[in-house]
Amino acid sequence: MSEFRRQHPIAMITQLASVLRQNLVPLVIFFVLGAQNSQSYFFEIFWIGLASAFIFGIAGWFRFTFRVHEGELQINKGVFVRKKLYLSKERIQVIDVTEGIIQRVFGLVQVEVKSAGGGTEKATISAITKEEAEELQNLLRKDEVNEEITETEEIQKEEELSWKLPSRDLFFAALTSGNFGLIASILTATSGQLDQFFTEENLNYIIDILPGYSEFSIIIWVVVIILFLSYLFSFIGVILRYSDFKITRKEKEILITSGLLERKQITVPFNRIQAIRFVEGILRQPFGYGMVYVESAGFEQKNNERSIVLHPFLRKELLGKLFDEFNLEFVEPESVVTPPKRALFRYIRRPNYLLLLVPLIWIFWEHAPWLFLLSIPLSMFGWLEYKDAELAFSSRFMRLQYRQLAKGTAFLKRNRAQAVESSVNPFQHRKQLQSIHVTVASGSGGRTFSIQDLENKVFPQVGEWISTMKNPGFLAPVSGKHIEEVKALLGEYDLPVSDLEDSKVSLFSLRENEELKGCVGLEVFDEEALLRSLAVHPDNRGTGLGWKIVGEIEEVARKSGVHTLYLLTETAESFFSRFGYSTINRAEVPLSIQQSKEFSELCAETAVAMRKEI
Amino acid sequence: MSDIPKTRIDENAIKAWRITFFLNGLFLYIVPAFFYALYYFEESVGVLLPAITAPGAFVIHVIIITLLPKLRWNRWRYDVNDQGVDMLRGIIIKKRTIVPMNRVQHVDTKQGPIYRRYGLSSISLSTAATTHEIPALDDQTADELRTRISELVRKVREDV
Repeated sequence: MSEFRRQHPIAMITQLASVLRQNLVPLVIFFVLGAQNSQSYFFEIFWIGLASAFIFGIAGWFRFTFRVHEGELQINKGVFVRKKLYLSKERIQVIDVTEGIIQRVFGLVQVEVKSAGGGTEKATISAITKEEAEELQNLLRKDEVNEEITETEEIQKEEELSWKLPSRDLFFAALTSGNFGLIASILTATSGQLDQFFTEENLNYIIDILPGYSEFSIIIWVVVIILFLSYLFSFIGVILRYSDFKITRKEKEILITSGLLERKQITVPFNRIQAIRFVEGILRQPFGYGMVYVESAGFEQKNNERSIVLHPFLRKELLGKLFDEFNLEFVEPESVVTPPKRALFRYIRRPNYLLLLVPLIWIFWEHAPWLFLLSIPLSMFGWLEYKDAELAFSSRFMRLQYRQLAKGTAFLKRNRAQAVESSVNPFQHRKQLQSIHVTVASGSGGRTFSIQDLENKVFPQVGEWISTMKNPGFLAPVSGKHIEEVKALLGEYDLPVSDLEDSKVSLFSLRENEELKGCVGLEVFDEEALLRSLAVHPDNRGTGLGWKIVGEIEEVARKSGVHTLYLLTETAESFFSRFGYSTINRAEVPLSIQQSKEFSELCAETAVAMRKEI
Repeated sequence: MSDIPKTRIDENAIKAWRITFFLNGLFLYIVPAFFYALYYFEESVGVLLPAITAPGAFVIHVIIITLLPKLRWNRWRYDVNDQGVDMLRGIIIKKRTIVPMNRVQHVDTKQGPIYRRYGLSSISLSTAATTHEIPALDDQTADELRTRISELVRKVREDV
């Protein structure tokens, strides 16, 4: 692929199709105008437009050349304005392969290359053969050869794991798709012609030919037909989109392929996943099914497609299995917060605000007061919202559950939450309630999950939760059975271990899920203390853990009446100086500390002494 | 992070916002102007509508200028420490936002012509998903704060 080459000639047609699609409105206008007045030149303009679209399609194909050269995708394109688009493979994040309808007929594919970097860029090659696409993918894949060699065969084997959507599930997914409400409103809006249809004349005619139907029942019939049609459209839409649905777990990403006429392939790298959302639509919840979305960040995505469907129809019980098998880390949080009893009334009242519209409707419809009966289902709905609202969090994870129409559950890791917010309106203020909002990145923007009317002491906890440094847990004194583990960790950094069990040394460790993450020791001499044995597990370096441990041990020291901390270090002088430790002469260290075993015997003469007043 | 933030923004904010609200409030006069134009071209509409809406717009304008800037200033509090940035604001709906330091992607200070007159700048913080603004700090404070935040961010991100 080192020579510039053109796309498959079919690209001309796809290019033409896209030019036509972009200019559809003016073309249609000129065509209609041309058909109406034969004297003018509108028809000619239409034909010229069509012809130039053809020429543009061909010229666009002719000008579009691409090659891969020294690990860089190079594209030249543009008919009047020539563009050169060069993407080096280090910057390429995702390569998506799609088969559009036209491409499918000829066994071709469309390749989209997306990058992240200074700005996001996207390059689209609209028609090449499958073999070429594969070659392109191989050439542009980042060099991971070196890493792969060291990894075991086991990982290679487990790499390809995939889930499919059984056709029975696809059928039920289409049957219970909630889209039809939306489509119905679009249909009604676009069919402004209904007004024209419902003229006196037409109605009288229909009433004549269909005896037994009043004006009112005809309107009802029209509504029923619209609903039925939209249900049918939504049914077909789901079938088309999710036929042959398959998710595959790869080493570093999840691959989603689906679609009947147009096959779409989406790649979601694990490290871009921000949150997982499980949405149980009102038609699906009774059967225990829902849709799984993944929020991912950073690509050039349009707003409406920023949540990617990870599974269109999943049994709720299988969610845990999906998380496990697709490496979506989540551990059920232990502390759960729900809105207090006194918030129930607010929840019930909120949907009822809709009824404020009734007086307005009354102007047009005399029976409007009957609508107040809707208060019963609305209140029940409010009660459901109250029951479903829930915020659960543990040191590393958060689960938010809420109901809009459908019941939604969001799962996220703490380090993916970008900001938290509380809001209190005057009514909430009176009842000492507040709403909590948690925002994660999604597409090029964010998505906010909100839970209404929680106890107002919850927010400080949430604030504390999000602000804790990356690795949670607290320093705890090391117990007898763990001391060997700590010694091993210290040994890895050649730190002294022989005097650890000395009664003067208090040793602390930070553990998470039964794993040792780091340790630190403190030797107290009245108002002075020696800070020592600070180590972070190699797997957790660079995560801000050292910072957290130092912060916490200083707190421990302060609480036991220490005013000045001393330490000796050979390698971490610059690390400690960032926390306000200053380098001092060894002779400046108080005698009591100089007599400690670590100071006098174990640490090398070259070690630097440092001090901090706390 | 559980303590409510205490630092106020600069008191000159009130003066600067008076000007902003005065300018924004000019849009209120579109309504009487529209009705007056209607009356001007078509006398049968009557002079009543412009006669009522013009003083109405004026009264609202005056209320907005006199009350809002002061209330808004009074409600704004923020705090910056090594854990994150904490902001509290809102006249009717009170909002409190916490942005942890290690989520901050960049910090800028901004100054428009009105702020410049009073030596004010605002600080805006961006995360991967959101943008937050602390408005109307005096230039020096704003610069110091920006430097401090970016140092803290670097510290948190680099560690060990």
